[in-house]
Amino acid sequence: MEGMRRAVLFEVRRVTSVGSTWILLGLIFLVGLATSLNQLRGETSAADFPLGAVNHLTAGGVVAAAVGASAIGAELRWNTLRALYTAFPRRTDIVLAKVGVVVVLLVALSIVCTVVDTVVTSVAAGGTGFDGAWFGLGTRSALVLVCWGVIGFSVAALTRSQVAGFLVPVAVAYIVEIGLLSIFPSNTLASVLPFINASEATSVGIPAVEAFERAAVFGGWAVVLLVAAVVVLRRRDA
Amino acid sequence: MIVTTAGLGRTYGRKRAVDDVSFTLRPGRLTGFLGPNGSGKSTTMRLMLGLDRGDGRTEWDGQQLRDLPVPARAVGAHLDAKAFHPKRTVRRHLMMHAAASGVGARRVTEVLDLVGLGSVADDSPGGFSLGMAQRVGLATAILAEPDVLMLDEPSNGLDPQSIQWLREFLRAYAHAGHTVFVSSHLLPEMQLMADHVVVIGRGTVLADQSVADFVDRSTSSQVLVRVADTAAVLGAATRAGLTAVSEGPDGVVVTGASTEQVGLLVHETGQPVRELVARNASLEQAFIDLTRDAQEYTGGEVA
Repeated sequence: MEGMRRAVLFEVRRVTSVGSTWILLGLIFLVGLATSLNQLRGETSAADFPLGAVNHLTAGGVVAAAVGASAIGAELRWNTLRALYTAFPRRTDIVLAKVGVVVVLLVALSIVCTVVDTVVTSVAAGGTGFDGAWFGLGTRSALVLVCWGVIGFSVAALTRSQVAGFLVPVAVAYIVEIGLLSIFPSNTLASVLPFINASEATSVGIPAVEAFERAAVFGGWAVVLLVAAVVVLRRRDA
Repeated sequence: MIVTTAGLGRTYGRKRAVDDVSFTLRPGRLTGFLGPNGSGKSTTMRLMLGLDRGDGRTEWDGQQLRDLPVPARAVGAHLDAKAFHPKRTVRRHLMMHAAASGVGARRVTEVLDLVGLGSVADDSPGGFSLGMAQRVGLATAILAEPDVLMLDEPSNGLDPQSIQWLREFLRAYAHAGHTVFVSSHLLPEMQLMADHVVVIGRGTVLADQSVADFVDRSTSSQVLVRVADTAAVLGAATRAGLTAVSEGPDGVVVTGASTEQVGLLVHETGQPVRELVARNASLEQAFIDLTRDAQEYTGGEVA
């Protein structure tokens, strides 16, 4: 337990001591805010604005993958992994601390984003939307954002590349999955692909239960990749 | 803290890079780790720290490193010259590592001043020279004042003054009761610094003894004498049962004799001595003698 406490403190100091962390988190905030404000120019009714604000927060998922990837990728890129594992020979502690800090940062950011976005768009449109649906959608959006981060972390760990940790999820989400479904159009296939489910989980019109099921599929992918990453990081040479 | 390695081994493909390496590091002693390029020094250090997977085990006062309550206080290691984020200031880099051992900001400042980085503590190290980067690595390793200090080629990139400072620091650290283990290619430097050496070649331990014993065992003292008639001296040496070879147009190198004995030999040949000098055995010569057959990568003859 003491080892985990030190690992978490180490990781908090690590992520908060470089500007790139704040730039990436700021980017997620701005992406959410910008897409929400952009809705004001559309034809969505005032009552939908809060939901829309939360929904569009997931546009920051791509950047969240970069946040996750940098948590382990920076250690590989700057040759600091050996010093890290020397200080923390129980690798699981430091790996879980890294994932935990990414998760906490992204959850905190998604709460800030959803509240700010919702207030801004509600005030601008003259309505409010803080209800059960808003809460459910906000929860799923936070979950999706966190899973993007975890997937970025896991891919970076598995490929030993910070860049791959960002690019591979983006490529799968925006090229591979779309390509697969255009070649093999199938609801069954669509129901198991990660990023399509992530998108559906944060759609406004979908029933809540189904939306949470979709979020669970995305979360399942994130967990599987994370387990693989932890196993590999524990066993692989530093 | 006593560090014991037993049967360390590692295979890369078909090559056995480290094979059954066993030795003991003792507190109060600076142990040099010597070996030709590719002999397995760095791999051994990584195996000791559990960074690479392989055979054998390393015990730190009888325990696995992972089982110690605060591993960062047991061992500080500096294995890679530029192991830091180029945009994170040196102070923040050390504060980050301070979390691993529980030391505070005061110790960070103390270490920064100790390694001579106080004036650049709040600079980003991205543009640091290799020598400055080595100081950052050393500061990180000694931050928690660990019982064991392991350094891989810490002198690389340091200027002569810094090397002298490092030597004095490491000797003082060892003689304060810590265990210090340093690999280096700078053999004259190691002769001045180390109390004990572990020599490795082709992945196996070739020697594990005090520097003095290693030098005495592996080389013989020689005497160089310069005279006009080298053949006469060679003959006299052979008659006296000594080994002598000519060196250059007027030199004879006699092995296993004192300068006084060689002076008498030359006197017997009735010619004046131009130069008479003792060649003391060195760690470098001893190392070359021992590892001649264990060198992995050799250069061609220099014309």
